[in-house]
Amino acid sequence: MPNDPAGEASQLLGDVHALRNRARADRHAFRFPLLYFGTFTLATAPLYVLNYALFLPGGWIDLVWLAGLIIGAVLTIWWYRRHGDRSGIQTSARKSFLVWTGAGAAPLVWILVVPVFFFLWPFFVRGTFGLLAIALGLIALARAERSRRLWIITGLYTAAAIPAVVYNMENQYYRLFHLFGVSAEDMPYSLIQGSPVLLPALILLIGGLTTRRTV
Amino acid sequence: MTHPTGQLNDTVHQRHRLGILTIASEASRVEFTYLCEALELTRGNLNRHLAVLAEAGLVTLEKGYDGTRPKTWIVITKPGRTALAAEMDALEQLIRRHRGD
Repeated sequence: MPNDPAGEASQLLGDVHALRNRARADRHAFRFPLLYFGTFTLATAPLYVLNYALFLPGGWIDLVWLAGLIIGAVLTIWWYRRHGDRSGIQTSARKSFLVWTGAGAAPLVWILVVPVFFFLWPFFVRGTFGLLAIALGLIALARAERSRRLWIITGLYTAAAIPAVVYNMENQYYRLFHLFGVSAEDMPYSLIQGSPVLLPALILLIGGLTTRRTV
Repeated sequence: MTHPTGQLNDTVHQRHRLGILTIASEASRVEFTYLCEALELTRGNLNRHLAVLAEAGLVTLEKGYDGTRPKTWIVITKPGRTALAAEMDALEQLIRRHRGD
C-alpha cells in the first residue's frame, strides 16, 4: 500500500462487504421451511376441533406434531442441500434439524419426567408445544442464514406462538365473537378450538409467500 | 504500538484471496464454479489462490460429484476465520488511523 493505504483499505473493505452481501443473498433458502411449517401448522387446526368434539385422549396431537416436525426437519435439510448444489453456495441447516426433532419430542419426554419437572406444565398441557418447537428451530435457522428478514418473521411468529402455547387463546376468540353479537348459546365452541394455531400459521405462510423464490 | 499495516497478513491480504475467505466464511461450503463467477477469476487463477490458502491451512478442499460431474467444495477452517477477522480489524484500524479518529 504505497500511496494511499487508507483509500485502498477502504476500497478493499467495500469490495468485501459487496461480496459478503452477494454470497448471503445467494445462499438464502428459507422460503421452503416457512411454507412447509406454515402449511403444517394450519393443517393441525382441524385436529384440535376433532379432539374437542370427540373427547379424544390427550397426547396423540403431540405425536402428530412430532411427525410433522421430523418430516419438516428432514425436508429442510434436503432443500438446503439441493439449493447448495444448484447455487454453488450452501448454508448448514443442521442445528435447526436438531432443534426441531429434539424440541418436537419434548412433550413426550416431559410425560416421563413429570414428577421432577411438573412446573413446566403450562408449556405442555394444551398440546400446542409444537408451535414453540418451530420457533426454536427458526431461531437457529435465522442465526445460520444471518437474514434480517427471517429474524423479523421469526420474531413475529414467536410473539404469536408463545401465547398460543401457554394461554387458552380460545378465550380471546370467544370475546371477539361476543363483541360481534354472538351469544353464548350460538358460540362455535368446537370450531374455535382450532383457532390458536391460525395466527402463527398465517405469519409463516405470509412470510414464506413474500420471500424471494430460490432455485 | 504497531502500525496497522504491520498486522496485515500477506496470504490473506491479496484481494482475491480475501474474497475467497469472505465468501467461504458466509457459507458452510462454497463450490469452485461459484467462486470463479463471483470473483471473475479463471479456473487456473482460482486454483493457484486456493492452493496458497490450503497450504496455509485457511481452507480445505472437498472433492465430490454431482451425478457424474466432478465438483470441488471449499470450506473455511477455524484458523481461516481467525485470519479473516484479524485482516478486517487491521483494515478498519488503518482507515480509522488515517481519518484521525
